[in-house]
Amino acid sequence: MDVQSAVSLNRTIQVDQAIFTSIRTPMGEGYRIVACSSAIKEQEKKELARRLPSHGSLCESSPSATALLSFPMASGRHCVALSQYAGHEHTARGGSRVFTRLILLQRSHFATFDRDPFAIRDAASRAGAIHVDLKPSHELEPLELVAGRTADTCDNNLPGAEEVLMGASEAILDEATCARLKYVLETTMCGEQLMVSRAASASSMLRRLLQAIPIAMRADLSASAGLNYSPHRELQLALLSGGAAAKHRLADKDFVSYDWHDVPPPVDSRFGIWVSFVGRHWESGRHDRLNEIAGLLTHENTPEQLALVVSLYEDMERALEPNAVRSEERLNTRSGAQQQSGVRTTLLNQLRALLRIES
Amino acid sequence: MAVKQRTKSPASAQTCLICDAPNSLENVQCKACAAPLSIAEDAAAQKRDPCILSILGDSNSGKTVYLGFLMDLLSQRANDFEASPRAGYAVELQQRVISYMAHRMFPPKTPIEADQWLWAYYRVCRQHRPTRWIDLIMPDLAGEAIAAEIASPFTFRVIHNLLAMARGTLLIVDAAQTAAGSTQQDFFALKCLSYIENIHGKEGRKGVRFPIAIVLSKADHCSTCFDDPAGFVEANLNRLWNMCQSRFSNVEFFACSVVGSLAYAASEQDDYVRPIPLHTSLRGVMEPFEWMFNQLSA
Repeated sequence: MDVQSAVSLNRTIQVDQAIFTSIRTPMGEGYRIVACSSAIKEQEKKELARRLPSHGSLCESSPSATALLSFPMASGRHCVALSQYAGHEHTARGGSRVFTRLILLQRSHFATFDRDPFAIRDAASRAGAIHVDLKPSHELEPLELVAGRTADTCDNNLPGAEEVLMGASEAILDEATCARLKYVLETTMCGEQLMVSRAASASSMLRRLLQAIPIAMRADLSASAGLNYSPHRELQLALLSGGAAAKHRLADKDFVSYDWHDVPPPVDSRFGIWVSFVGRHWESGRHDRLNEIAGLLTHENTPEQLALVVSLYEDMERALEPNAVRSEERLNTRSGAQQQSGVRTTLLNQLRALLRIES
Repeated sequence: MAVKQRTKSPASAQTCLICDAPNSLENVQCKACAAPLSIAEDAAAQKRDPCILSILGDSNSGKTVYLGFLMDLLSQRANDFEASPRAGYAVELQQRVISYMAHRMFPPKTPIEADQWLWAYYRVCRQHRPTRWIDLIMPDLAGEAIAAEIASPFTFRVIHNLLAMARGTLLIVDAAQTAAGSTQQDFFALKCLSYIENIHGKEGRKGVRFPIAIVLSKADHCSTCFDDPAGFVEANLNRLWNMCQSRFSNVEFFACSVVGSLAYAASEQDDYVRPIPLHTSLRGVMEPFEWMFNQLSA
C-alpha cells in the first residue's frame, strides 16, 4: 500500500536551543539556564525555570541514564528537553549533576517532525547537539535540524536508544505488554492525566505510545519519560522508570496513577476501536506501519473519525485476502460518511481501485 | 487533546493557606504551590494563624544545614526554648541534616521542584516567661528557585506568597565565599532585600520595619565574623550594608557556623574535591532565631 508520508524529507529547520544545568559561573551557581539562543524570550525562560528538571530529577541513578520531556509552552512554541547526567553535582553535596539540552521550535516546525519529540532528539543528535558542555558560551547559535525519517536511521549509540523491551521496530510485543500499553494509550487519549511508575523502558514506551496517537492529537500533549514526577512540570503523561518504586510525593490526587507491574484496569472509552487496532499492530510487530498511519491522521481526533479509519483499513486488509468476497456495498457505506479527510479519501480510492481490479 | 480537569465539588475541597488554591480533601500537598495542606487545617483547629519565617539565601549558602540544626536545637530545648513538631513531615528536614552530618556528609542539594521542599512546622515558646506559643513555619527553599523568583517575579509564586505572608526573614550569606573575595553573595543579598522591599516597603516612612536577620554562614572560615558581624558586612558586603542602612530600619547581623573541622577528599577518577565535615561544632545558630523570636513577640 502506497501511503503518502506527512514528513517532509530532508527539510532543514532552524530551532532555538538552551542549556539548563548547575555550573559555577561569574554570575552565579545552581540550576538555571546557563546558555541560550538570543531569541528565547524572558517569559519562556520563566516558564522553563519552573518546569525543567533539577537535582535528583532523573528516575535512574546510573551514569548513562537519560530522560526526555516534551511540552507545549504558553508562548506557542514547543519545547523538547533532553536530560542526562554530567558528572558529580559541583558543590559536592552528593548526587549527579543533571544536564538538560532544550530545543524550542515553532508549532509548525514541530509538525514537520510528526510532533514526535524523539524525532527531534534524533535530528539533534545527528547535528551533534546533545552532548554535555559544561563551559558553554552564554549565547548559543540556533540549531539547524534536518527533518527526515528516523525509525531506521536512529543511531543505537545515542543516549536513550532503546532495546530490551521494544528495541527493533519490528519487535513483536507480548500480550501482557500490549495490554498495559493499550491501557496507557487509551487513558491518555481520553484526556486523563496519567503517571506510570516502574515503567521498564520509559523512553521506548513513550515513543511507542506517541507513534500510536494520531498526529492530530499530539500537538498539546505534554509528556516525560525517565523523570521523577513533579506537579510543576504540568504534564499529562509521565512515565517513571527504574527498578524501585518511583521516588515522588503523590501531591496531586487529580491524576491517574498506574504501576506498570499491575494488571491494567479496564477502560471503557469510545477510543476502544482505535486502541484495539493499535494493539493488533503491536502484537504483530507492524510498528512502522502504525506510525505511518498515525502520521497521516492530521484531522482525525474523535472516536468516530478514528473508527471510520480503522474500518477502512480493515476493509482493505480483507480485500487483499485470498478468496475474499468482493463487494462494493461496504465501499458505498464508507463513501457515504460525511466530510472526507485527505487520508480517508485516499483510502477509499485505494479500496475502490482494489475492488475494481478484482471484480 | 484536551486534558480532563478533575474538579471536586466545593464541599469536598480544602484551601491552601499559602496560595488560597482549592484542593481536594485527599491531597497532602497543594497542587498549585506544594505547601502542606495540613497547615490550613491545623491553623483552623488552633484558632491562631501560624507565623511564617522565610529563610533566604543563594544556592549552597547553607540554608538547609542551618535550618536543620536550628530545629534540632529547639527540639532539645536550647536557650530556654521549647519546641515540638506540628506534624511528622515537619521532622524530616531536621532528621535529614543531623543524619547526614553524623555520617560526615553534607545533606543533598535542595531541588528546584517545590514539591521536594521540606517544611519545618513547629510550635515554639519561651520557657519561664508568660507562655505564648507560636506556630512557626519555615520552609527550606531551593536557592535557585529564590534566585529565579527574584529575577522574574511570580516564576515561583509560592515564594512570593511566603514572603508576603512572612513575619520576618533570615537571610543566609556565605561568609566563606565572601571572605575569599567573591561578590556573588553581596549581589544576591542586594537583590533579595530589593525584592523584600517591593513586598513590604510601604510599611513605614523611616525604612522598612520588616525584621531581617543577616546570618553569615560558614563563619568558621573567617572567625573575625564572630567578633563583629556588622563590621564584616560593612567591609566585605558593602552593597548589602548600604541597602540595610538606607532602606531597612530593623536589621541585625549575626555569624554562625556548624562545622568544627573540615577535610577534603578527592579520588583519582574524579575531577572535583569533596569537603568532608569531620565533626560539628555549633556556634551562633540560636542567636539569629532568638532575636527574630523577640521581634515576633514584641
